[in-house]
Amino acid sequence: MERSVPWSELPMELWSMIGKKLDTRVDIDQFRSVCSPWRSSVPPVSESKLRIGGTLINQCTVYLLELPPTSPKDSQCPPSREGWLIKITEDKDLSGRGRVQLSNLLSSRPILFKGGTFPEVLCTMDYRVTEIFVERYLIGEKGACYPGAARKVIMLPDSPWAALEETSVVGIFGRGRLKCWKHGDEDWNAMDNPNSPYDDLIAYKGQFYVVDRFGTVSWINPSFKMVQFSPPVCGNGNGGDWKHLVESGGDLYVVDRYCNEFSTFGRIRAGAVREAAGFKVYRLNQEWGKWDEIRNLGDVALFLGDHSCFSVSVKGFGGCKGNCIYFTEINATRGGKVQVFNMEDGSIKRASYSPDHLRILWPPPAWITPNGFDLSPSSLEEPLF
Amino acid sequence: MSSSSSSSSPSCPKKMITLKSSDGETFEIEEIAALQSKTLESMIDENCASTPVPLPNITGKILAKVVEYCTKHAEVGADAESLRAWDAEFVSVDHPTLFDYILAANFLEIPTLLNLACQSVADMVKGKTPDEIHKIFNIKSTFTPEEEEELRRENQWAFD
Repeated sequence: MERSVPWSELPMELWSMIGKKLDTRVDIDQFRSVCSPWRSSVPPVSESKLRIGGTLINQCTVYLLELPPTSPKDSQCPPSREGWLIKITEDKDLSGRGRVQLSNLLSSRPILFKGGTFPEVLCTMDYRVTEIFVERYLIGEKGACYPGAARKVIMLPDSPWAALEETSVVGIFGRGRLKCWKHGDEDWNAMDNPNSPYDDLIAYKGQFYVVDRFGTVSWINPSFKMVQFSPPVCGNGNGGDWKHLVESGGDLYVVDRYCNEFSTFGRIRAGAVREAAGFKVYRLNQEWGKWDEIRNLGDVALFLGDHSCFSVSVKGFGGCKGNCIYFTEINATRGGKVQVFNMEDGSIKRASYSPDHLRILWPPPAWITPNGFDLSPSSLEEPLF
Repeated sequence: MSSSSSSSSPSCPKKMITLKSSDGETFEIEEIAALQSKTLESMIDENCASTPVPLPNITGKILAKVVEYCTKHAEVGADAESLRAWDAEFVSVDHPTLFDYILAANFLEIPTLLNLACQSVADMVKGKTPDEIHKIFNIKSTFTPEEEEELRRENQWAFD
């Protein structure tokens, strides 16, 4: 019985130690909102955004929102968990108040409603908020397809407690060139790229890793030199058209995307959109230095977006199925609609045609929009799902 | 293997020190394992550790576990992966025990155990609302209504 543990007798410097072991901004904010002693024991997280060569790096965060159990609002909710995965961009308005913009989970398209009763304000103290991923990328004024744009920017160490002086950054630009930056550098620097172009970049266990089109993963060491880390995913140049790096359950995965030769979208961008036909998933077996093909992800769903790749366990989320890959088409104009690849039968559907998979994305659960306004995908300014 | 720095003969038996818990139980621990505790280390340096060291703040039940922890961490040749797994198992305990580990590690100044136990508590806090945290730790919000309002304003997502 918890009441018998005299936690409040723990000396304040130990609460400070505990608080400093929290590694996401939202956890630190919740910790500092518990009581005044805890609030003073841990400093607030600084909100400065990354700037390289005078340009601000775009940043948004993916969160999982859940209602805490046994809340009074719970009586109307189904007994199984309900979660909502969202991505928001945080900014301060002119009066210093925090403002957020809701975006499509897998692209940078904003979610704009045609009208309705989405709450103006949500207080994060009322919800279980888990930070899933912090996306960084560089679009700049000329747009996402300009060579100066970086579709992924990874910053390490990515901890709220890290000093700015310790920061290193790697970005993947244009068609797969890598550039790096260290605190104090004036601008990006090109990196030696023996196997350029690279398909993807990730932070894994506090280090930078990249993957090339053969599925060979390389580690980028602190001096920004590449060190081969794995064999290629497929021998003999077989395999798919695009490799993605994602972490799940502490392991490193490569997802190999197979694309159709010709786009059937009817968009007038010759050869640019490469429509996905299927995916294969491989997990790196680090003990044996080889790739194991994974045919069943269990309760896990992988998300491959324009600027991030992450995994979420949907275990216990009512009506939500794992063992799938949410993705957007590569190079789709203005960011693509969310689609879902079902690992069980290899089918690909738009998320809005697959209720079991749409549920965690849209519409927001009833405990967010209690007035029950129908925020169905058709009420959005542009179809995102 | 001789572990004491003051021993000159290679065939000396391992140096042990004796610890006495608050409820009178005694425990033997190898000196080299005891060095994990800064408190015990300074006592050993000053030669105060020849008679049973009284630890009036630590019960026998907890002291036994602390000795087990220090002994395990003093082993040579343990690989990092299996030590991590052992540590995870060690802190899979109920809250009263975890609390006692923290106090004992703090008192005895065992940084590795203190870090391990504090990380466990941090993991209990992750992803929870402040209200849930109040209930888990039986802690009251000590904010005034004005402060509470300010807090809610700070922790707000205002949608464009």
